[in-house]
Amino acid sequence: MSNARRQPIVAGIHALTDDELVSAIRVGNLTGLGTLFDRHGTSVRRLLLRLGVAPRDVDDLVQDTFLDCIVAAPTYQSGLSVRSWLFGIAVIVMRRHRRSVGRILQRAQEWAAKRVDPRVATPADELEWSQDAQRGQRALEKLSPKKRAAFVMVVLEELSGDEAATALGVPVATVWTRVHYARREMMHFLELDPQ
Amino acid sequence: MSALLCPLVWKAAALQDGRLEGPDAMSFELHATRCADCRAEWKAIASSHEAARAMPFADPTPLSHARQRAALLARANERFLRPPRGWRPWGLTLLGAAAVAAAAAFVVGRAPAPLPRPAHATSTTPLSAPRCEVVASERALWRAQTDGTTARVDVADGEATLLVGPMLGAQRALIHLPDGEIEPSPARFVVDVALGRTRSVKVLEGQVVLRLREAEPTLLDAGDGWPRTTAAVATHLEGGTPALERPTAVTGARAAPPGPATPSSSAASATSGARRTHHASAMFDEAISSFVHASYGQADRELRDFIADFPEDSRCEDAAFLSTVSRWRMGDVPGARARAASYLKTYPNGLRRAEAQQIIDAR
Repeated sequence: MSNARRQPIVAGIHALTDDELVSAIRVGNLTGLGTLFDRHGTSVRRLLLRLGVAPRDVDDLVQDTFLDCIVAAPTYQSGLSVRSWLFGIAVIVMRRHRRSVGRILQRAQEWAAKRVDPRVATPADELEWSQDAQRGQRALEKLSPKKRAAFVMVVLEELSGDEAATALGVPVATVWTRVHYARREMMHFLELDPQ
Repeated sequence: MSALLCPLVWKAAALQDGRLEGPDAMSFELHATRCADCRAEWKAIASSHEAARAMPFADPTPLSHARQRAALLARANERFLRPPRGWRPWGLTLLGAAAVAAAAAFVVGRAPAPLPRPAHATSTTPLSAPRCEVVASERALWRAQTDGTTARVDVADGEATLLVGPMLGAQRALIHLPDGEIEPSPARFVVDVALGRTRSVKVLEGQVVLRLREAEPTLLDAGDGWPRTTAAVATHLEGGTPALERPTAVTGARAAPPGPATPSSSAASATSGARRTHHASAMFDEAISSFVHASYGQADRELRDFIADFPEDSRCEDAAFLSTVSRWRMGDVPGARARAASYLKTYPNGLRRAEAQQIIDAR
């Protein structure tokens, strides 16, 4: 049997493009999964934090996102941005997490005990937590989940409208509508709205 | 009621989003220099974006990233053996949700009370597993677990440096390899595994015992490595000691110049044996390659052929297990179960018996 078709994967998984990595994951290559995590783990983590996931949960959800990408790999359309595809999976994982019964019970326990501040709690982070950042964070928290997801992807993570639409599974016009209203609400909350 | 605004004010957001390009963008930028409404809108949008971006994020440290990566790969590896998801009894799920909701209501209704101290908190701590640290290469696939007083590390693929601390009494550490195991005393060593075979072991500190299925147990001290140097292998082959079956040894035998004259029948027999061993290795490697590249149907056929052609080969156990896994990955659950049962019957104490049993028990 010819070894020609085997050469790319054997030669060096780290040299593969994102697209090729997803193909490798599709056929069960876990090293490809590790490499994809190296490349995009931090941005998926940042996205989840910006979408309002508590820091104590974020690492689990990042792992869930990459585990789900094994299942989703056969449906990945070659040529699309892998980063936005991962973001789409992360949003689904986050929604599932919020809906889970375990979360309801955990929240009930938290309400019974005390209000937990979702911010990063180390002293160094507290120092960095400027007044503007707090206001910005509170404004983000006021948005509905759908508007927040669209705003975070387009404005903060700088995906194109088409990429965000693919990630969120909605038409691109819907993305722009959500971003528009999210921006207006943000500006209103921050008392910046000139209108 | 707000005053009438410039009709072009929407273009400020469009420009921020990258929806306005080329002449349109330049035209609006020129317009904004003269229009107070558009300037104010642009500034407000920019300020709101800045506020949203100001949230500080502590990126994970390299160590934290490495831990996350290892945990992810371990979970992915476990998921492979998890039974396929089937029908879900939604009635039971709803019933469970109702019970949880009732429990939540009960918890909310109660004031938080301090947790009772566990009864065993003051008792003597039982002997735990010895300290075992793993620093793996990026592509390594490994898993660490403890089993009572035994620390177990499975190294399935890639290179890993292991540090095993001092051991007391019944404490033990075992490093499982696809084709054997390493039992270290307090030691620091590097192990390299590829394609289901141990490629090398290098002891940096301490002492380890290397047990590979096709070779005698080997004691390796600090500074020792396995496999031994080529010269040592060649000497080994030229002497009267039986040749090792490893492909490296065979390669060395082929590369070595012809030795002194020996009776023709024994020379022919040795040549034939070497050729047969080489053929077995090539066949096995081909099957492993098919498996690694997810050609499971082909891998299954090649592995079965290997077992049929070389039933005495020490790699038959690996071949039997990988054949089971191939059936499983093809989605042939009954076939995989049958193969797993056959594996357990042939190798009741096989290294993969736990995984084989897991496949049989899968629902």
